[in-house]
Amino acid sequence: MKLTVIPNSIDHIEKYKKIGAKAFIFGLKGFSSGYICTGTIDQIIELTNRNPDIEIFIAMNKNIFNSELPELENTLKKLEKTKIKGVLFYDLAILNLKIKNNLSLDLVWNQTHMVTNYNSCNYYYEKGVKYGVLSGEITLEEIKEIKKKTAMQLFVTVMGYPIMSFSRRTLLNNYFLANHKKKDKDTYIIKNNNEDYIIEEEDNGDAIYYGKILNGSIVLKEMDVEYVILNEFGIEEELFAKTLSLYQKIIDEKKEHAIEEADHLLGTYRGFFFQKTIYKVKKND
Amino acid sequence: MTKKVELLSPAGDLERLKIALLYGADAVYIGGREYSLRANANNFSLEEIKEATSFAHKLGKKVYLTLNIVFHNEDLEGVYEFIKEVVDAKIDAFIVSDPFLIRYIKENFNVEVHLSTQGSTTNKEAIRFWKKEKVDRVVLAREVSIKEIKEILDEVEIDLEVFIHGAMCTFYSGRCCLSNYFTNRDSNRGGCAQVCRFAFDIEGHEEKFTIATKDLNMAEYLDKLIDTGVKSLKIEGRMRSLYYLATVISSYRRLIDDYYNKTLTKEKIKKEEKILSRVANRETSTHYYMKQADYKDQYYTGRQELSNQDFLGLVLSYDKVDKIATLTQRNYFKENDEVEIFTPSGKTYSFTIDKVYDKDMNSIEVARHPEEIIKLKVDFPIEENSMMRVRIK
Repeated sequence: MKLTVIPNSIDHIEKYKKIGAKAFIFGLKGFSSGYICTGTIDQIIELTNRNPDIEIFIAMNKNIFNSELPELENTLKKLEKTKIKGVLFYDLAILNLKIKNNLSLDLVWNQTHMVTNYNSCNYYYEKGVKYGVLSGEITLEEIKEIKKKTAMQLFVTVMGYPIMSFSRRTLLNNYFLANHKKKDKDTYIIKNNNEDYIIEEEDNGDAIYYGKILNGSIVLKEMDVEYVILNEFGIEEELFAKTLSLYQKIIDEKKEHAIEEADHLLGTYRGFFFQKTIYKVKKND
Repeated sequence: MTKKVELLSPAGDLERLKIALLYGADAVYIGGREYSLRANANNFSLEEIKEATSFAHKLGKKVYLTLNIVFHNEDLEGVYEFIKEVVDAKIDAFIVSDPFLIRYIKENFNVEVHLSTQGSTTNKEAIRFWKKEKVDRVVLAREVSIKEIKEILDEVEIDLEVFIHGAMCTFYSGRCCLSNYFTNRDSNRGGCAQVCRFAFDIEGHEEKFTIATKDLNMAEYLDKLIDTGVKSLKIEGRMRSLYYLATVISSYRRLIDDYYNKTLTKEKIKKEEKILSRVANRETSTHYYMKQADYKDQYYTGRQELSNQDFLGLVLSYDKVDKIATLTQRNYFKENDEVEIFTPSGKTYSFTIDKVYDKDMNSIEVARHPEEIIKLKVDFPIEENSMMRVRIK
């Protein structure tokens, strides 16, 4: 199981590598949604050359429009020649371009909330997609069953603010325009019913995150997946580093009470690991 | 003769399905009791699906079944058997979002598969992928423009379906799980709680932060949309009322027919827009079709959704001898009210109510009880299933 970090800055790589991170995911300028740390292809190439000891994945997870296809195709061809481990994709244009150009570029199925069953994992695996990032809205039992029934290598997010939704609309900008006010930053806390949520605006639209940090320390030893993701977005560097260290110790079974320590640091929000969603509302509910 | 673009209507139950088809829809999309993204609509049992296809096929029309939840492992049990039963019930197409089902259906049955808008398909390369997978039709994401649709159809031969009217998602379809986190209801399995209609506090500012969008209304640009070569124009809303469906379908039916008859005028469009604007009581916009959506396409403050009082009654029958129409009452009306009746065949008659009677022909002056059987003296024959509403001037 490899600790995989989505960092806030490339300056954090060395530190997190030393703690135990074996893989990193970066955004690619113009093609990512919800990534703070993005780079150009040249910067990514430099990163892979400087860090041969880690696996570097690139997230190209935005929805793609016709006008972006030529640049997308060129970018994928360039990425094939780099040492990156794989490309996270949302839009099927990326898979089609890989097949069309016979690119030896490994892909990671990353349709955020839609990677929820083993049959569709197997479908994409048979299409040549080697990896998948499981949705954050499924249970630990479902994760285990998927792992048993697919050959796809799996990522599961175990720490960070969970992303809940992504819009092409610039919701923050629109709000300030409508109210004749100036937007002075790209991240705001919004509240409903005394709960906090985070909204982040970027060039491709707005993402809304849940306001509690997911702490999956308790499930680390129960999952047999290849990669677990820790997302630094919105989290102080020091807290993130401590968590990373604790998670590594939990995996290595090198520290007693590490789960309790992680709980003390992050709280005990477990996302959907132990909570099934419902979808039929009973009459009178 | 040019084949007209398909007008595709939602239908939450059998009654709505019949109304939608009678009022001019060429096809309807419905949900079964499982696997559909409107888990809390009435939806259709297998017997009702059979009745639906039989009714539609007699009219030369089609029924599509939504099978577009994002499946969890536990949902897989029984789905293959369900598909077979629905194929046997003579469904015309499945609307699917999970890819394993596309492959399964195409390998095992001779039935169309439409890729759901949950797939958020926004470009020609993604469509090429689905075409190779034998998808018969792609329901495009609501974020594409008319220009982009044209670009796609210039290069890829495939049936495209686009939304023309109704509520919009704030987020990319499939990329929103607000409902899961706020209410534990799974938005991608039919439990969407419409959290995008909630109001939020935002740090440092007093005005409420809202993310709700106005409805979509493409009446004004319908000609441009048809000109792209899309195959199907889709109306949103499996939870909508009979009156809403009848009104919206009638309006678009007239607009489409006028387009093909070359009789579409600005005045006619304005008239239909007026009718459409009253039925939902929400502001509308063209969202991404004509330009990048912006703040004018959203709601901020002061929005009110008043319940619609226009719908006065559904016509059950007409006695040609005594010239008496029998209706079920839906909203308050009385003698001397100016009303109009619009019919499934597209006609509209305006008149002033003379006498109002109860079911036993006792004069009552006022019809005030919902679902009450009411009789009216009407001098012209009226088709069954016509609707009486407040006169729209």
